[in-house]
Amino acid sequence: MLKNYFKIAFANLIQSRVYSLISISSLSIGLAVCILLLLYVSHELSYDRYHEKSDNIYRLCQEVHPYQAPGTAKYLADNLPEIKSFARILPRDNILVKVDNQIFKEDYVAWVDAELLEIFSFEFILGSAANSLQQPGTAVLTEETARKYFGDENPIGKMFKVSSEYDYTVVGVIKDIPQNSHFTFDLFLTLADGNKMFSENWMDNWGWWNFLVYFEMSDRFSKPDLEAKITELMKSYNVTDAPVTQFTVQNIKDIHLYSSHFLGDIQPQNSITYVLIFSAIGLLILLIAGFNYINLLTANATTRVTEIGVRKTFGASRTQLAMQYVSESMIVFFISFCISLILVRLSLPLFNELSGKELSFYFLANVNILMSLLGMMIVLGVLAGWYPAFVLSSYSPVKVMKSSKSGIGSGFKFRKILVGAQFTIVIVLIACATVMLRQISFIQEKELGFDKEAVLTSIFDFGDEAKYNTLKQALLNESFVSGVSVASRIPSGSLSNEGRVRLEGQAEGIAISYVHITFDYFRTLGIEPVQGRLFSGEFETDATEAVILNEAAVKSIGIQGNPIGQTLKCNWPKSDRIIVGIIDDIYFESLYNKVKPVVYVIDYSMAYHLIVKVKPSDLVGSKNAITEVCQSIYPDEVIEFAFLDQILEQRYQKESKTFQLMGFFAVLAIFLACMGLLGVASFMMASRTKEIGIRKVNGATISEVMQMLNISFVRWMIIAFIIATPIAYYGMNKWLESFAYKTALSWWIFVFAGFISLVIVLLTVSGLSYSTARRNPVEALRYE
Amino acid sequence: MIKTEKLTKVFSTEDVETFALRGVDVHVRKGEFVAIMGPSGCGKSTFLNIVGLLDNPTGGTYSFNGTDVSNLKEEDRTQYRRGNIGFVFQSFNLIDKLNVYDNVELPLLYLKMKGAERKKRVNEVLNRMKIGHRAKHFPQQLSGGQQQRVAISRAVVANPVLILADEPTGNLDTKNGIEVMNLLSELNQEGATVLMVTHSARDAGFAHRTINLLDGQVIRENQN
Repeated sequence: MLKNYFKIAFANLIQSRVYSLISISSLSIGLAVCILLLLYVSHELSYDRYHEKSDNIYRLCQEVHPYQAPGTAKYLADNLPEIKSFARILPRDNILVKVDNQIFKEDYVAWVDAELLEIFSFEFILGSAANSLQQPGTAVLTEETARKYFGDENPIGKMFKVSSEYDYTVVGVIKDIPQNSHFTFDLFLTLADGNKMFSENWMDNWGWWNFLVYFEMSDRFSKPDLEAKITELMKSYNVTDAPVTQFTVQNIKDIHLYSSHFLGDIQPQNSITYVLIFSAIGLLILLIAGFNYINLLTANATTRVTEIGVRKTFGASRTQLAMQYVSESMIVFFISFCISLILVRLSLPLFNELSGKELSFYFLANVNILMSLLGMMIVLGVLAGWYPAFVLSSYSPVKVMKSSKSGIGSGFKFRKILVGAQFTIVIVLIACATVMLRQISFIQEKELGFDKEAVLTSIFDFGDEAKYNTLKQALLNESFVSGVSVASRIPSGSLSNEGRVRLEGQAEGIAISYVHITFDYFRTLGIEPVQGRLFSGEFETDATEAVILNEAAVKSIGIQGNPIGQTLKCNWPKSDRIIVGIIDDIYFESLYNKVKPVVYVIDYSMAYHLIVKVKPSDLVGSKNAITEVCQSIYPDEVIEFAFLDQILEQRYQKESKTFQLMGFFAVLAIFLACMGLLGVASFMMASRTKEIGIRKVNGATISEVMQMLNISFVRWMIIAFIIATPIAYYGMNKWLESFAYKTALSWWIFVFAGFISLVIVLLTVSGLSYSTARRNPVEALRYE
Repeated sequence: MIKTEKLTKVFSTEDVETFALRGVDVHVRKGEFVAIMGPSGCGKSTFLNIVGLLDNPTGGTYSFNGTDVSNLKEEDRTQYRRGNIGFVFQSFNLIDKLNVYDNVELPLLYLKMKGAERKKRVNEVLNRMKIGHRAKHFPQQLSGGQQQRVAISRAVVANPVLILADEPTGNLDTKNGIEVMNLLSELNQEGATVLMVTHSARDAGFAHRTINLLDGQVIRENQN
């Protein structure tokens, strides 16, 4: 019997070549997209799960960032028995490492507690977790870094110098940190000699929020209770008049996907929203492909009425017939699955480029993944085969043996519903892609309030102010340089230097972001005052007694009347300062967040970002020349410049990439839906051959016949549009909520999506209806 | 073997009720060859479909081999049909995608017969119908007469007790038509009961008895 099923299945596939091709290719593409997205989603969900103790590792977080003071971890561990052990990470970038005579600039350096290696499961190649980083001056390198520093030599016991000052000895080498980790480091340096590195009482610096803190928790503890206890314990270290900081703990497995609310995590994390979006896209595309298959199978069944009738007449039960169609469906799914694996293999490099991931095809070689894929295929095969099997096996043999196709006609309505559902999905995808494109353009083109073009920036140690002034003068001597300044923060960075201010006469102050700058900062960035003036060298007291605010700060502090001339009591540095100017609310951080209140004060000691404004004529030449000038004054520094506009662009790279992927999948979805539509339309038209013949004999023109054939599809498109619009509106409204500044969700976007889909449908169907309408009616009638 | 009493069949649409059969009483004994004649629309095929358990009557009773089968569910009708009833159609109704051998084998597959036995039975019947040399051919490669012989082979391969033929010669020329009728007679002489719907007086002449229907009622029965 099975042989007979296979025989019929293959005979059908070969005889109905066009439909088989459409079914198999759309299923293959649909399955390939699903597998790709499954790879992507599994990768995103796999973050940090490779640590053996991942269930028990928690990160301590404050409301808007995950950074803590150096003493927090120990204080909490001493007071809370549910904390088994803790480890801190002090992450640093722009660190100079000297190995023999070679200097390397490292961006992924971490000073850590030795316990980190016990809590986390990093794989040691040389040395061991138990014997690393306990001693002062010890370091653990990743395999790649060890090779970079020492080539093929055994790195254990070798020494290197950090920041030209501190000597470290390599005591261990670990495998490179896997890509599915919420942080990446190349060097781990021990925190055991913090006293030497920082200061004798560094552990008592409760305002130095730069440490990531991880706890290994006992098996049983209540997360809400722990968070409440931590918040309570930490109250004693809260600045007296500041609001109580709410502390939370995050399981390590949640960090990658549930940290998007933080301003500046250790590295850019993803958001569960995007994982859900891509899961939904995968599912929708698979639905479209599945609907194509069901549509074509039921439509093609109209050519199989005799077979069904004969089988039933000669004793086939409904179950047997249903089994036959389900087996056929399984065969088609199996062939499509094999093709989809080839497609995944071929498209993975492109997908990796679009998604910014390094997914490997060999991930599929995992037995569990393969079994779940096969399981998915069987379930889909049965589901997709079930409806046709159910419908076809229900036909009365009497009706079908009369060989009238009318008995099967009721399937058309169902098929049109499926086509309608497909185009609902297509309209949703087009509308979402349009909104995302508009939002990305909105962000990229938004006037940020400062000059981002032709501004170069670099981070290195400028030495004392006199040396910096030498550099500044040397740079300004270049004809293409129009401005030079240094500061603690530049636009694109995060405003994480938080201090306090209090308006003279007010009882309470507020927490506020500080930006420590030097003269010419605003001029270099093209920022003009909206009130008062900018800092100027002409006023000697500006460096110690003046402050500039943005407009948000004026509101936030609650300054009444003209702010110019009013006095602010600042704490970083501690001083009374007169407001000399107000600047616009420039978009300093990201358009995800509302503009923060900021105070700008002159303080060279805090500045480590160099900004240079050049003339836009020869940017690359200018960059090289500036690097040379800097290098001549600071020969021991590794100096690299980046363009500010490019840094800003990178900030929204995730959205750009997501949009690109969305666009790519939207096009695929449209393509698949069109393939299905083509198949269904051709069946529909074939079934109306006689009717068209009769109409033409009675005087219908080609255009009238075309109109008649197209109108039913237009009707379904209108229904699809009505269903799709609220879905797309709701989804995009939710997505836009994550942005503080967003494009308008205009009505025309949805009309546009509907219109484009209608055009696509009409273009697809009209070719067919034209050729059907053009047929000689005599031929059509004879054929029937 | 077949006994119908006051058999009625009504086809209903939203507006109209069409009476295809209005109280048909027919009795066919085992081993009989009965022809049913009548003009188009008199209910011949409807009657045959009910007798063949392809459809249920609206009213009246139908007993097959002494069992009342008037109101069986579809699955039960299928079970009864299997191996008991063979069908021959005017338009042959062969499955285009299967070759001659596979078409004939079909009823045996549903009887879950073993492979070797199936092969033996199919080859026997094909040879008997003088179509064995065409076993690997597909229906569209055969003449009408050959196709009907394949259809008859399929109808008899499971040794059914009843063969139902719906205008079996309707699509054939005279020579092939007579050949098909001879085959049906032979099968009847070997013990099969044959019930045949026909327009042709010549074909009806092969039967033992002719029942005439008009407007869904038996108007005459005569022995040939």
